[in-house]
Amino acid sequence: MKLLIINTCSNRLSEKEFVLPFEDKNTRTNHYKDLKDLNWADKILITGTALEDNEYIKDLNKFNWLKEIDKPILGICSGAQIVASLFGGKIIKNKEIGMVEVNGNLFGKTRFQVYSLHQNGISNLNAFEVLAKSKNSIQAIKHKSREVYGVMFHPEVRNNWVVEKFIEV
Amino acid sequence: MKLGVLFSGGKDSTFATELADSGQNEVVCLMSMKSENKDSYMFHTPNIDLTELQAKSLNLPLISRKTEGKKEAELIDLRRLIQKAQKEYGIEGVVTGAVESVYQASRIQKICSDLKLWCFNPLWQLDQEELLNQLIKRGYEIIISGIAAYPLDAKWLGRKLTKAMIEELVELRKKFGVNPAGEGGEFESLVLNGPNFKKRIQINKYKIQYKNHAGVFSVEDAELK
Repeated sequence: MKLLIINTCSNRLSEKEFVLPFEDKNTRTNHYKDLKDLNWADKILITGTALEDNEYIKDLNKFNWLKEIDKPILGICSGAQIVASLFGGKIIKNKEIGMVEVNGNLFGKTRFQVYSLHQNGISNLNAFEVLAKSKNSIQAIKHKSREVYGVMFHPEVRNNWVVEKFIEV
Repeated sequence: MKLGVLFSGGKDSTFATELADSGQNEVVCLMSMKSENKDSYMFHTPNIDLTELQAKSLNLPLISRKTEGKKEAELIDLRRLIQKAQKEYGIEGVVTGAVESVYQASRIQKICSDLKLWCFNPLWQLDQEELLNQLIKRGYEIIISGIAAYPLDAKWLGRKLTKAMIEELVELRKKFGVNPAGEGGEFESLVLNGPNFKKRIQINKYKIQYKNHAGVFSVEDAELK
């Protein structure tokens, strides 16, 4: 299984925090401004970025390929915002930092603690099914007719199973 | 981007300083909290005064602030330290050596967010064994300056980090659950030299205090050589 990681960080130092934890011998990483390996990939993961980094919001038009490509996609934090936005959702202000409890059903898991680190949340999710929520945020979504997922929390912290399940499904 | 590093003089914040000072970013100052609470979950305490010598060797200005180390009140002190760096050095972001501690990382993220500063954790989620191996590969000279977990004992205090020590630590993780990089507070470290140090720190005098698998290697006199 070939996983393409789409890096959303505008400062390279953030990549060590938000991209590196997902990289291994079966992955390739492209920055969203320099996509080269979309055809190579079986599945696509779109990373999060630093709390103060909002450059991806100015560049949402650079993600229009998401609407055309027929491959499973998992968006993480800013990646989830991008995915939601491209399919008709809205990016809203919603700051959440630290561990929070999530309830719902994400890949069979119904109640778990997650690490949240975001200034923005997602809403107007008509094209999506909401899979899991915390007290103040929508935490996990899936497109109603496509294999497109988004999680607002950071699975690289204590919840690696989310990415493992996405790769398995 | 101008960055300030939360610097304890231990292996993680020293390595984070090296990683942060490249490409788009420039480290313009180091920031140290001097906690009076030896059991602080937030701040490293052994030999914190040596950060002055380390900063000289790194050729970076150091600002520091004392804190009683009371839970949550110490965060107000930390916020003031960061604000001082913002005012005096114009930092736009803060760098930490956090690896796994959500407790530390989320508190620092909140302060940075309130102050509209970027927060960088370049060692975040790095495999502990890989982190130790990278430090040796890059030429860091590191000693154990504090211990606080069974079965670590007095013979560990002052020991230099080597490949053999990493193997021992990995064994201790298997047998006793000791985190090999000391991220759970099992041990504290002190950096004497590294790739970005202009001069090595030479320890001239030290004192060892030890009781029941807890102890400190306190440097009483040191100089740059």
